[in-house]
Amino acid sequence: MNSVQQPRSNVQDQVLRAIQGALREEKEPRSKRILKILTSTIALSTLVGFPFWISFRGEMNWIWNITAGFWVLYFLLGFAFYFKPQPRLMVSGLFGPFVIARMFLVSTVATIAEILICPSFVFLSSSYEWNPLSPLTERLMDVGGMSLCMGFCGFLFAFIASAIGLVSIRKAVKAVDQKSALILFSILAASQFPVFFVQVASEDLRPFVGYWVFGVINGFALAVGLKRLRS
Amino acid sequence: MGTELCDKSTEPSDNDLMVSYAYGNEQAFSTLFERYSSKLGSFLRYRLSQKQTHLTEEIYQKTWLKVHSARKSFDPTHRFSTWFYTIALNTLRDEVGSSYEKSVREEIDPNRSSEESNSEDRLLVKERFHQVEALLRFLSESQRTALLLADWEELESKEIAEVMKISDASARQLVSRARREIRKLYDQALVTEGARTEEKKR
Repeated sequence: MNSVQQPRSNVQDQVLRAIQGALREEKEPRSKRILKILTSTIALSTLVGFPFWISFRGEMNWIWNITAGFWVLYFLLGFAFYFKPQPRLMVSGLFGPFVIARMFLVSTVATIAEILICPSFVFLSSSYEWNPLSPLTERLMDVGGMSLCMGFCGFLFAFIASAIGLVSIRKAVKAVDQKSALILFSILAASQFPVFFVQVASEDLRPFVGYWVFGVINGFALAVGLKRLRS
Repeated sequence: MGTELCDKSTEPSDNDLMVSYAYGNEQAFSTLFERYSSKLGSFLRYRLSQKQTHLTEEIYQKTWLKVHSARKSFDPTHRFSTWFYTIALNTLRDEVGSSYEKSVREEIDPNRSSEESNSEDRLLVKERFHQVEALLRFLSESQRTALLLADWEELESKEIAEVMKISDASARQLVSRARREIRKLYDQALVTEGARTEEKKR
């Protein structure tokens, strides 16, 4: 009864194409893949690095130079995972290399964008004095001082980066269980590490790093909680 | 089996295709996919209850992705279909949870003979599959799996046992009981249908 050929559904087509694509990618020369990784890393680094340098060129001390190095390394790693030959199919609960890479890259870029939008959160001043959230930071400093400001900064950074990251891999996180939450948190924690480094390395920020980490955990918990509610 | 309609002298076997696919042959994968894609979809649809049908696509995709990532571990001394359905069933177990395991244990009665396979029942299920497929829903999960593997995929009881991770005797018993159950349901359906026709005539 089942030998009769039936028309293929969309899902069948997607699976077929994804695995055929993976087999084709495996046959590609390694040099071609390395070129793709390098080109993408240079393109993304230029895209986010240029506005960063324009805005904060006066404050690029050794800490920020190392942080920039981390970000370039992150892009390199992210693209290496992304371009690894694999079936590019997003399925709920499966975190293949390209899914992890996408969340990682998106969260990292979101974090950099957040610093660009609100540099006062990491004690930077933009050359353009453009800081839409400065009234909020001033208010937080008035109410709870540096501790509250750092806690809120961690919360907001993590929440926005996680929310954007989760949206970018929404099909893979249709239902967020405990195991998925742990994987997502690890990706997010890794993407936030350069900002954590900035705080640990800066003498002014070091005493408040605990508040920032506390904020990050809560921000992530809120993003994942909202995702769980939606699903 | 998937090769039933093919001329076996010219068409490669599932195992040959799988070995080529493991070495990266795209055409071999496409042929294997054509043979097993719809069968896997139907197998999952029959195996899942109506409340779980939304999981069909997800389990379908995960099964193929797992087949792809495990392709190099395929042992050509075993039948491809056994290996394939083991992956499908494991994926199903992971997704649907422990209810499956429970149902298998409940279905196996150690006091019953495992040699009760009734050839007439087998014929009924095999030849009239399109007529009895609606009745599959009335079988328990484990009976349905065993029956589909036996009469649809034509796996041997040993292979069914391997896929379902139960003993050979238990597999035979499950298949036998499922066939009897289907026969009973089929007869009941015929009686009901006959009564309705009679009523209409009057």
